Amino acid sequence: MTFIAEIVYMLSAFTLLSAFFILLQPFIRSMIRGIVVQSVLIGLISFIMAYYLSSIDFVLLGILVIVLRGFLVSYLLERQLKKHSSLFRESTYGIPSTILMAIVVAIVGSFIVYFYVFYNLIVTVTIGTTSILLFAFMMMFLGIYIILSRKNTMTQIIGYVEEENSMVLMSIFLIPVPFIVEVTVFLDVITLVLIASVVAKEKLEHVELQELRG
Amino acid sequence: MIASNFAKGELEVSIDVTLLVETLIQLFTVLLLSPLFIGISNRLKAIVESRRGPSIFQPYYDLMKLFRKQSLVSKSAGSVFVYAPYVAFAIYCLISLVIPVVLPQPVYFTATVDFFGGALLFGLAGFIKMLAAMDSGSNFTALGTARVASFSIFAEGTLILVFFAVALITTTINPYVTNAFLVANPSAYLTLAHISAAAAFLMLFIFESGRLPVESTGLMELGMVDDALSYEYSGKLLAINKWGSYIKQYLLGAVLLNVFLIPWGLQTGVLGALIDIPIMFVKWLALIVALVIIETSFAKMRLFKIQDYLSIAFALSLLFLILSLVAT
Repeated sequence: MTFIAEIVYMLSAFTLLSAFFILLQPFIRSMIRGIVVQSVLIGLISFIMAYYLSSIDFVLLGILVIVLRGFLVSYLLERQLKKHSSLFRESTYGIPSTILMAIVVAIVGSFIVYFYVFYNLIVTVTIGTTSILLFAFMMMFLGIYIILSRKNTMTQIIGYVEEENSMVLMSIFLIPVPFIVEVTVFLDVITLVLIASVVAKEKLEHVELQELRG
Repeated sequence: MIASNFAKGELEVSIDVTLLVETLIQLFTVLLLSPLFIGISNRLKAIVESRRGPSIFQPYYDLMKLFRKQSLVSKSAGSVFVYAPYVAFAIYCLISLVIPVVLPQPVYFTATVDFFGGALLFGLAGFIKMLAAMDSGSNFTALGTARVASFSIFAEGTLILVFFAVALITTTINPYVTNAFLVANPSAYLTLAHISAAAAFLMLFIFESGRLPVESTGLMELGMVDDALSYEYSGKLLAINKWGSYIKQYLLGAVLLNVFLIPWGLQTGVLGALIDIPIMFVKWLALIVALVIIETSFAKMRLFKIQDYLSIAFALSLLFLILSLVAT
């Protein structure tokens, strides 16, 4: 493995660790800061890929990730947080059970996707081996797990943003997606965060069981 | 090797003297030096905290004092309680011959078990200690056993998974080959899986040796974990138990040093075995300094946070075990 590939692997591992950090935080402000760190890491990976593939698209992508995902989205979320002091902290189920369940979901999910879907396809990745996609898969499932396990609307938005981050990571490693597609996805996410913030104003907690009760 | 020749009608016994000497050096280094490192670490910690501290030979004095004293066994205790310290001590002695703690070369009894066998033997010794504590019939030790059992879920799992990770990196489960492989291949030493396995094992070692962020040793009731198991022991039995736990700390630390942190520098042969003792001593000093820095810069965790800490170590080892499977 080349030196650049090693660095990309290491940064991806840190991205995955930041996903775990976000998952285990009961404080919503720390979760948002985790998202900032994660987006900056993905931006760095994008810059390294720009140097590696000598493509200007990745520089723009990196700037977009850091500015839009890292700072604009987190600014929007933090502004919501100031209005609702009750959103300061969410009660969680404790670290050991959360981490065990999350690992089971992430590993089982990503292995099913990786071995049953990607195994039959001929996938070319831009750096390293195909296994580098596992980082993105695991992050995606961790984002899904945040949405599954939390009731708070803000944390669900954060889980969604993390999922989108994993999509960006995957698109960096896969054959480069046209730049215009990336930009539209970014704009989608910002719109969704805005709309979700409006929803969050109306409904702070989702307790589906109450609605299902006959 | 003992070979008997009955055909000639005479019993011919041949023993490989070199191997025997190496075995004895390895065993007695572990037996005799393990309390010293505890003493050095306690003294250094005291100096950092601007106390005078006990002598570095204090663990030896403690053991000597306890060996002279009488053992008291309560009426409600069974025979497991009495014999378990000896069995656990013997298991730790066996482990010291199985893994490269002093000499990076197989000795007698090395072929008994492999790396996983070593991890399972650690688990067995822990289980026997817990069984003995339950057999004492005291409520207090039962409480300690409950604590140890709930923490061991993650601690033993981490230990076994970390060894799995090393086996996957080096494609062998022979600890001696592992050590040689890591010495020969610095690139394997720097893989993601190895680094995270080292981090997980360091977290585990801090827990098992009762250092400060976790502090499982000490007789403070609210945070008492390991010492609750030996709470009912006294005299000779307590000495054996204590010595066993010193050996356990030495073994885990030696694995941390020789497999994860500094695999280089060990010599082979009889003369090499003698030179290895000061080499291990220097390595241990480096580890002790690092641990004292960690210990004096963190506050103690609450008892219920220990499980969080261990579950993160477990997650780290499991996650990167999976990644090492594919990311190579």
